[in-house]
Amino acid sequence: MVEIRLENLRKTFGEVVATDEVTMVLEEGELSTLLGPSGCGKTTLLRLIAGFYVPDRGTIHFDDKEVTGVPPHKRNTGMCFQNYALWPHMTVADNVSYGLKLKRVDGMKYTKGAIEKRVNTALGLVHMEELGKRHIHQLSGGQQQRVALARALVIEPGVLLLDEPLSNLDAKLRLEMREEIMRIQSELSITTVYVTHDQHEALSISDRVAVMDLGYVQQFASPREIYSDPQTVFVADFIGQCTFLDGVIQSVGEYIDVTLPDGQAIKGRTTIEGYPFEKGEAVKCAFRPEDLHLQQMDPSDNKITGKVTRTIYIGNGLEVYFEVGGVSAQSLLDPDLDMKAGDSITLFAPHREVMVLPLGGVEALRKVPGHPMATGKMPSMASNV
Amino acid sequence: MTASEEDPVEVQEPSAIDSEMVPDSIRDSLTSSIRSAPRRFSSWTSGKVRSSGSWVKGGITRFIGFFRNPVANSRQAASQIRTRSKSGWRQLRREMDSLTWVQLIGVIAVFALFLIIPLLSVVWTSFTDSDTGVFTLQHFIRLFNDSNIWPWVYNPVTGNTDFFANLTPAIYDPDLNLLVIYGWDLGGVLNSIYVAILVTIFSVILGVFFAFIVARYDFFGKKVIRTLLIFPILATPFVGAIGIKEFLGADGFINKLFEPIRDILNMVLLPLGAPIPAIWLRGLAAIIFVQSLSFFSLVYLNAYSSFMSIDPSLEEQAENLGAQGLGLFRSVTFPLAMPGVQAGAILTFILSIEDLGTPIVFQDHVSARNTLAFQVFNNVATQAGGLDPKGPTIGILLLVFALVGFMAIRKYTALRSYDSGTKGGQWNPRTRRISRKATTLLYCLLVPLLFLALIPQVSVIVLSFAGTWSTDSLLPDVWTLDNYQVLWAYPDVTQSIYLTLIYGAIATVVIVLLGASAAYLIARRDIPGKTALDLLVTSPIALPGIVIATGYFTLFYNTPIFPVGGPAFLIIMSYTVRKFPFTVRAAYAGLMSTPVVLEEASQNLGASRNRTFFKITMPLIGVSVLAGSLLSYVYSVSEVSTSLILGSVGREQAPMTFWTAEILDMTGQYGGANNAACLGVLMMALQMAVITVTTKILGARSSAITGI
Repeated sequence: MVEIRLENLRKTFGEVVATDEVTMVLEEGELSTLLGPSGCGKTTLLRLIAGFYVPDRGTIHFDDKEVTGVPPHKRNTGMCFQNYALWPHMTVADNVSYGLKLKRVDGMKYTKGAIEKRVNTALGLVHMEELGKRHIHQLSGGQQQRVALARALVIEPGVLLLDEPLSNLDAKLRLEMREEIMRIQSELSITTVYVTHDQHEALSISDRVAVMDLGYVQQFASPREIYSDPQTVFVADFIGQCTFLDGVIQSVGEYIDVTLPDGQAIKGRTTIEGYPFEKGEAVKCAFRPEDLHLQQMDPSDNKITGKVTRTIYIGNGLEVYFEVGGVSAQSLLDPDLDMKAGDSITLFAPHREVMVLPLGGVEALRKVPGHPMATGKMPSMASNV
Repeated sequence: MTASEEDPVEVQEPSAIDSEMVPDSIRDSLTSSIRSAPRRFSSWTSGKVRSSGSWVKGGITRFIGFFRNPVANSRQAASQIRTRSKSGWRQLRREMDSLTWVQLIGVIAVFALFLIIPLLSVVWTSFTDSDTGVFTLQHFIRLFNDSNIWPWVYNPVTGNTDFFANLTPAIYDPDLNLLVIYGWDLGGVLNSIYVAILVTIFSVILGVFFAFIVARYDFFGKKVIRTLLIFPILATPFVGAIGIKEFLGADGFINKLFEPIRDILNMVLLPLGAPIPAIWLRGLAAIIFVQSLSFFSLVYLNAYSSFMSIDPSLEEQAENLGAQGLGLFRSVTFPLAMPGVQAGAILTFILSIEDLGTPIVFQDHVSARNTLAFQVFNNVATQAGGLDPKGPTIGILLLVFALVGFMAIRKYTALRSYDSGTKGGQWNPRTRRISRKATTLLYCLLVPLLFLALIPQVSVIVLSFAGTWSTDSLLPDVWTLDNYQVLWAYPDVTQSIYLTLIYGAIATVVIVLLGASAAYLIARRDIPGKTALDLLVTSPIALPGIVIATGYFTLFYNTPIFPVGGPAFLIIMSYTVRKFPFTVRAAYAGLMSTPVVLEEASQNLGASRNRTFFKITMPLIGVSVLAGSLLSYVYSVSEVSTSLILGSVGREQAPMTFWTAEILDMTGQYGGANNAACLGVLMMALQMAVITVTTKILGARSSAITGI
């Protein structure tokens, strides 16, 4: 088991900055996901860890060993490629045994029998033990995925790297393989980095999720935290649904008072511990559709008034879109509600459900004392070493 | 971990683990240590460099601190240079390992020695005085005072510029009712250019026509026609020209074939004073005819693969918006196929300008001798001892034309989009079945055209079996195998057949070793100067063989690698360099269609780059390399220009093409066109066999690769 420590990584391709200022610690046995839209730098980051790229700046440590410039074949990582990268000129068993034949431990290599046994074990792990003699083109997509996984696992890698492993599978198979990966990962408790652009996949399998955009890690936290305490507007927007209202801070106390352009006042909380909000600062107030209610729970609840533009019945709820000060807002209400476009609507949101987010994305996080964006170091690093 | 849960035997006791592991064998570790030695050496040196780098850095800081006047800009610049050179070195070190070094050095050494330096020596010879070694332009001045090369010659006596050119392209002989066409003779430079332009135009028209028909229509007998269309690319124009020359003569097959029709028409037309004459193509006109019929297949193959690689939805979209028929072809299809057509056209231009075989066959007319290629040949081959700078100087002109053409191809990037043809199979190409009536119409058009296109091959075969052939007979009076006795009548000829096969084989082995390496470096490694390497290894396709051979004379003649009378080694090397691009292209195409992740997966599992290359890369691209090497072999065997020039100074070591030319020129029992045709047929048969094997191995992909 290996702890991966990335410090201030930067990788450019010509003029294009693929990823920058990445500082994070992926703990032993943890399954971390790199999540983001295409072009956000998540695959670049994975390939930096695998050693296919060498960063322009920054360091990568596996435990206490620096591997920044170590070539890929000396890193002992097991990688599953998006298209599986199974060698078409070899059988399933040949593919899986390839890495074992090359593996040397202190100048010792595996015997033929040991290789065979381990290949069978690995194929058993992915429920493919019968198909060792097959050729790659005789396998279905899901089977290929399993072989790729077995091939990566059989060498007992310190780190398992998965590059959108499920993106080529159909919906049902994807769920099945997701379960499989989670089972195997927890069985072997192997440090795993998982790249995906599917937020449901990311939230459901990860110990922690790194949401990436424009080459930066926007937030690296547990799925729960990512959803409930997004640190940037991008994260709030990318994960789940969110309505954003522009506003200006009136005062900062236990809650933050914000005035919307149309004069409505809103109280909300900060999601970033230690961020120095100031009076007069332009911010965005964000709330999730399910946090808006028709009934007032507390007399001090935020009151939001608007005009309904559209309603969509989705079975377990009614999505009501309404306009507040020129912005389209979204709420999820009781499905039995009778409401139509043109109605005016008043909704209530408790203070703790409204998130006040600074503008400027990750740049704003530099103002947070001790944040990796400010220091280039992981705050918890000392405890991890 | 898994093991302990699923398989109790594999409990993680030390002893159990040990029993599964055996010591790495000494042989293995020895080879691996030898393999990794260069890497260890380079990492050691780079360590030194890095530490001295930091020493320098400290020095700079101290130096600046000493003056207490740190100029921010200069310090920044210094650190930039430092990091850039450091990262450049790091990049090189990372990308290079033992195998890559060997590959790179091998490729560069061969190309430097047998391509670049000879060419430079040609340049040197043509720009220096042969006695004093001083820079001079007098060779060029003399060249442009030669009416065989340039028509406007300044006459120092009269002070006028005289114009030497034969502007009458044809002569009509009313007695024989014979029109002899030989084309305008404007001197070597202009002749070569206008011949090449006309050949290109005819080739493009023919090639695009056939490509479009075959790519877009389905009709009875299409397979046969596709196969027939591959033939012209096989025979060098040289071989075809031997047959065509006889067929196009005053009493040749073509005139005989049309004689009855002409006679009937002339009964009406003769009284009107405008009879249809028999036509005899000679000189430049014949060259244009032969080259067009040989080179159109290049355009055909390129255009065909372009048509096939057009995404059908692009055309469907245009149809959806109302385009149709010719409008659709003009507005969408043709522009999309343009890169392929352009590549084929420019290549045709280059090959036409540097083609030596055809002018040699038609040299009995003065205009054919007034071409650049023939002039180089004439001035190098006959002056082998003391070299006349005239040959190299004309060579420079050829080289300039060829290089301009090559750069044009590169600009249109068609040479680089090697893999464009391989997409063909991934979607259903838009082929339309046409009705029986339309098929008949099509055949009315195709059959004469195909007949025309196949004249070079058919005529050579007919000629080789022809015994006596009376002048008023359409076909030979007697068919015979006697002509083939030429194959063993002269020991040198028999020898040359073996030698040709051996030369080709050795060259092909070298090509495969270096070509796969070069393609791998270009496709997979991020090394500085990669583009230059790519340029270098694909350029021989455009560089005139005669100029390269000239360079061998100026550089190597009378040295151990090119002793007087012993050109064998250089013949092999010239084949190696000149036919290199075919294999590189094929290997590159193979690499491009092989996802790089397959190699990354191997590295990820602990295989070094060297091992990955041999275990994963080579097996995957093996078929492509094999196909490319077969092509390299075919074209080596039929190589004309360097063979003729180098062979002329060592007849016992000369290859088949040289002896074909000799036999054609000889008189006597085993001399002349019929016997030369036998050698031509032998060569075509050989090429056919190799191409059939290639097609069998590669299937549909072969057309993409044979297209240059």
